[in-house]
Amino acid sequence: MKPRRYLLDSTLREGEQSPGICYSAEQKLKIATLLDYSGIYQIEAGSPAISKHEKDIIVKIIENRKNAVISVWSRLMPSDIEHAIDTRADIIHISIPVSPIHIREKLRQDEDWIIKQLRDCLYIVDKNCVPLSVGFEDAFRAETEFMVTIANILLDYGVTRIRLADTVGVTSPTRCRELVNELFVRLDGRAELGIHTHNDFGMAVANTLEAAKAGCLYADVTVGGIGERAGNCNLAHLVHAGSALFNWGLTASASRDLQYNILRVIKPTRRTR
Amino acid sequence: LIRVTDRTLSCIDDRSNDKSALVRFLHFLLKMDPGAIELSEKIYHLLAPLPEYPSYVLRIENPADAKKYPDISEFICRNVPASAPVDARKKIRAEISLNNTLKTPSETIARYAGYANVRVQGLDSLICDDYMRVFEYLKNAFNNSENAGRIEFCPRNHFNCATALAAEWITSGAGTHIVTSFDGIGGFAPTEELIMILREYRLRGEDKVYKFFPEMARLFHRLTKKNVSPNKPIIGSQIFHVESGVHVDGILKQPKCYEPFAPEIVGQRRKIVLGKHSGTASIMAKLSELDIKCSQEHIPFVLEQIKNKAMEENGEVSDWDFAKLLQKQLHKEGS
Repeated sequence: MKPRRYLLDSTLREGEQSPGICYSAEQKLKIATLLDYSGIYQIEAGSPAISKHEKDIIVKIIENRKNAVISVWSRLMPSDIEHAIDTRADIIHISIPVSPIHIREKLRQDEDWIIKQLRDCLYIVDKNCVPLSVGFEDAFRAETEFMVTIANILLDYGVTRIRLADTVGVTSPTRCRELVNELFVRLDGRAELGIHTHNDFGMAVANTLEAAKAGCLYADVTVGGIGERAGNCNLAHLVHAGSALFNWGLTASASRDLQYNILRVIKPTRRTR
Repeated sequence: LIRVTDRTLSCIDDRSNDKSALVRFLHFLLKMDPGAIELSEKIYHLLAPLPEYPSYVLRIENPADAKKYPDISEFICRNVPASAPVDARKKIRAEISLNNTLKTPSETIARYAGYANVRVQGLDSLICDDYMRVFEYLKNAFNNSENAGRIEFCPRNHFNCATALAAEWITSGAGTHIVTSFDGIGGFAPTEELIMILREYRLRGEDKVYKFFPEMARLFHRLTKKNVSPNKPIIGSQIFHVESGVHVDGILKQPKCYEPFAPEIVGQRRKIVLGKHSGTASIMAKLSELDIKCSQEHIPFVLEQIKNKAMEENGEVSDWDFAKLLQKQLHKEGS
């Protein structure tokens, strides 16, 4: 039997960040339903902090859901976490910037601030007993030591799911394999790792596959690879390339059909000028 | 020395006779300077005499045809017998197609082991295997004094992993010669992706800029009638469009936060797009871009209007709509 790998579809969150794409409520619900019946393990439904409208749609997606796990995306901010808790999602995902460039240049903070902010967020999550996963934003330009520090704080809180994000698409299959292996060793195999790749250099599928080969249990994808800049790991491409190795929860032909059906939902209203 | 052979001009000969476009496309290939440029016989006849360049490779169907082209020093042929004479072996590279992941030693490779110049093509599913082991096997199989380090690897892109395999071939030290095509035409690794990876990893051309890529992509479309996808890595027309408020804020503080390389390197410009995911930083940037004055206190309201409009129209809010919306708001304030 092929080893299981779990797909997390981010078409509704990262896919919508693709300029010119803005789903209506009906589109979001339709896409979520198609994903829910497809065998996709987890649907990242959106970011509740964007607006009340967005939050309401996410709540509806959760109400309609039959099979998939539904997660929502939050920044490392207590206010975002409060919005996420309101949705009663199965999992709240918090994105933590971990690279020096993101911490110092984007947030204009330091590592201590990140740790303090994380503890504040964990306190809120813990109080509300909500399952949590965490993303290391820009992990492939970060210091491993800092990621291990953060991971150990998370593990102490019982948070085991950590996804490594190649935020600007600069990593390679070898670097993916090395980082996954190193984190497994440094964390004594206590964390369940996931991978989130970008396609800026055309290596998103290969990077995701190599991370899965190294032991990452979760792989982020979007339909048609839509996402920021050159997009993310393409769902159908990943399942096609990796179907000989892993059980992704759906077959290559099912992933192609799903992609076709969802792109038909998205396409008519896409407007870029 | 790393050598990328761009095989675009041997992949499009059944698609175009447009000589002026081909001349221009070759001009851009020369500017891109991959290392070697491969042509079909048909395109060679259309473009000859060729402008000066260190390495042209001519694709021929029959090894005997090499004699017809005394000005060409390197050929590629898929029908070269392993027993070809030694002088032919030096000039004509043998193209070997392999479809499996080489879990067992390949008879084809064994047959060509003593050949001077070899191109290994295919190996689509290598990414599913321990490809480092396969690289080592290929390196050792052809490691004789005549061809040490000169084996060419031309991964096919059936699994959308050819760029990664090409990059890994070079970065792992398995080899230095790689074969690609522009936009991946013909089903290979896209040249522009590999060139930019080598630049990013500081292995080759780290100071080079490719401002001509957008024009090259348009020309490519004219030659092949193939549309370059707007989010195609490196050459897609929208890869530097940014809407998300978090990203705009990060980019304005330090572009490297969310851009792997500066847009200008590949002849593009960043475009801040207003929409559902915009933030305060996006509004401020747009105001400054359009040279419109608006007091700070109005920004949250304007942002909300932008988000509502994007959701109403299921798309981005154009600069024109943004200006109109502002005008309406300012008019309201005035009255």
